[in-house]
Amino acid sequence: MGFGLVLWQIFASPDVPYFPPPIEWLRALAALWTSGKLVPAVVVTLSDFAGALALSIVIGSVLGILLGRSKLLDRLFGPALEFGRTMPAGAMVPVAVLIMGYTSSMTLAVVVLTSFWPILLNTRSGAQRISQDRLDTARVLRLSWWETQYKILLPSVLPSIQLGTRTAAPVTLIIVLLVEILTQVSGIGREIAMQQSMFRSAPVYGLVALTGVMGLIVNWLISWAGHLTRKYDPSAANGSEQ
Amino acid sequence: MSANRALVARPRWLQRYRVNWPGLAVIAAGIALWELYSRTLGAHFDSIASATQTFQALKWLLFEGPLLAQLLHTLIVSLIGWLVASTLGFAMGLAIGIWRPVWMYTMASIEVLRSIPSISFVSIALLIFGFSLQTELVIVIYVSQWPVLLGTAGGIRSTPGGLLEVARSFRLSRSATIFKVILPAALPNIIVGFRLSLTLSISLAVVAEMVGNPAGLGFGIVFSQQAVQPAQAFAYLLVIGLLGWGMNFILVTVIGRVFRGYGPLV
Amino acid sequence: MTDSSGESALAFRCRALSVDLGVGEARRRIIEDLDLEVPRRQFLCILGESGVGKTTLLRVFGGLVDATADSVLELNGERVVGPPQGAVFVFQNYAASLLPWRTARRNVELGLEATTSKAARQQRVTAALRQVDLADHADDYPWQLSGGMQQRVQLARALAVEPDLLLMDEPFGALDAMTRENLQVELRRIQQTSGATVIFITHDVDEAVFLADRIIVLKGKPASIGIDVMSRLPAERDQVRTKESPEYLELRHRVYEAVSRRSGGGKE
Repeated sequence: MGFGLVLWQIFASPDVPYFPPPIEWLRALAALWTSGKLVPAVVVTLSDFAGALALSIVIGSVLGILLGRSKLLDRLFGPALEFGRTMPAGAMVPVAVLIMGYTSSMTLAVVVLTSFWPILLNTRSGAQRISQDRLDTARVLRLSWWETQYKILLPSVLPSIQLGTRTAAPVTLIIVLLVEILTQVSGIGREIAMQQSMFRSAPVYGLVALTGVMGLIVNWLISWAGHLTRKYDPSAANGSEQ
Repeated sequence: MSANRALVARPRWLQRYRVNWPGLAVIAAGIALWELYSRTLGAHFDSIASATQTFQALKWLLFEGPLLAQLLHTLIVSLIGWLVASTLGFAMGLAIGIWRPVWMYTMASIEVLRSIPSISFVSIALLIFGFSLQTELVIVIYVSQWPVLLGTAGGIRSTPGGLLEVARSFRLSRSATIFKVILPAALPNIIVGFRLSLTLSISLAVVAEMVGNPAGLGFGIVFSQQAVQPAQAFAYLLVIGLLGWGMNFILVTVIGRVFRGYGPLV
Repeated sequence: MTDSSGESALAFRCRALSVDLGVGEARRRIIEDLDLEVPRRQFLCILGESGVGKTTLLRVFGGLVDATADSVLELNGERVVGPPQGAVFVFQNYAASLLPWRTARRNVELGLEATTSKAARQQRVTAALRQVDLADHADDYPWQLSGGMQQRVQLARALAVEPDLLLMDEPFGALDAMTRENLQVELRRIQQTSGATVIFITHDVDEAVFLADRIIVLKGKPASIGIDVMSRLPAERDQVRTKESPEYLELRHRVYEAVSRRSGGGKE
């Protein structure tokens, strides 16, 4: 990878506007920094990302537990969920804009509606797979309903929630950027779209590389968080590494 | 033991064709609620179309408007994109999964490349190809080859050791081991890749049409939003959702038929 | 199968066999200086506590693990390098060794596809499935079969290649007692009719005594042969009568003592 970038730097000609050499990317990013556009954009994107992911985790795991533990609910909402989860995020943006306008709650709504699915589905199957023995243990020990929930159920589905979050986090970042590119209101996505519409290739490449760095950091954070749950249930976290 | 669990889980694929009436009733109830809301509490919002308005708009778009042509455009682009992406992704995944040196030299680059949010490439594609069909295809193919690539490479590399030992014990040749043991063992992973890839290709085709190629359903929905035609926008959303769901359903059904023997695996 | 040098010819032979496992610091001698000669058609059971290195030894016999450079290992007079022709493994974990996407019949075919014509293959597969009493389930997938049936498919798959040597690694360990006893009787019958040499690993003394013509107990760390006894039981075995016979009880007694004796690991 690094080798490829070096080659690119050596062979890219500054005269061809489509493939600017990597040093130019950095210069463009620096220029954006000094003009005071870069930092606010990064802050908006990151805070939208964090908020949406947090909301997705809460909604996804609560719904996932409910559907996983109740056959009736699962049957009732199964088809509706089946339809909802294949809905492309991009298509929701225009409708959401019509209903909610160009607001940050609109961004949040679209992002959460797309990115909570992996968490919901993983939690649901995790909750379905809890062994009957473990639940019977709770009954034998005469735990109260509430104790059963947070001493048995929640720890049992935690690895599934974490696994779902692993899948959901990159999706969340993608959809935040997507909404920003489509609506061009704020954030890094907006900057990318603006620079692109002015045919400034170096800043576009620089910003795309920046989103790549963000993606990498997100992945690292997620796999670091993975060690926390893997400690007590090594089997659970191995399911979908890829 | 574990064999028992497999037996319990087995009948699920047999149930696939049973109609879930209560589930459909919930959807119907949802539509009824939507209609009720938009006629009462939501009546003073211009931006919310009722269910009946949406269906009327859908009828108009379908018989008099451009919907059919747009649907066809999106369908064809996403299918072609998906096929190309699947072929590319499978070929690369195969090379990475089977040859250890390829794996060692490419994995770091792949790890970095796939961390870059795919959507960012929309702008680069636009920069290079402008507002065109090429942009749309390039975006669709680039993004939707990843799941197949990763599924294939990962599936091959996680072939159970037990099966590989069986292949060795029966003295299977290298090619027989690949075709009879490794690839079939990786198939569930590869198929998951195909499914994700299909969903992504439709999704990205729509996005590309919204920003990069003025055609298809994506263009239609943006156009009706900018013209403040909520009923039409709702109708487009419905069609796009149905397209995604329908294609996925067809793929799952076909896979279920073709790979019947996998039973609980797929 | 190969030459007809008579019943007493050696099928399998190892001399000064040592095995090291692990890498770097963790490299450890598992088996030391083992001599063994197995005549053709013998049913040999290797017994030992878990962790003693039985499975490793069997994997070395099957060419799946390498022995040290100066070890001698021969099957039918030929040096074993990699999985040898004529030897086939039956693994303990049947669920992980059957190809789940193939029917029972297609699983049994696996070892024949490179070597036999289609017609001959069908014949041998059908015969092998009939031998293990699974002719009715030829077109079922492994996940449609019980554990015992799956293990029989694996046995049929091994028998179909008409091996000189069957290497069986606790094949019945994961099965329930009833199924296991039935399969023991069947295996013994199949071995008698097919004439294959069998090396069978187990940690169950009764299983070993019931099945074997000869029993070896592995002991110590690194492992070597503790005792090596011949069975005086008749060739035909029966779960009730055989187990009531004085020869059975006597052999069982002897083997039991050899296995459970807490000797420090030396040879006797």
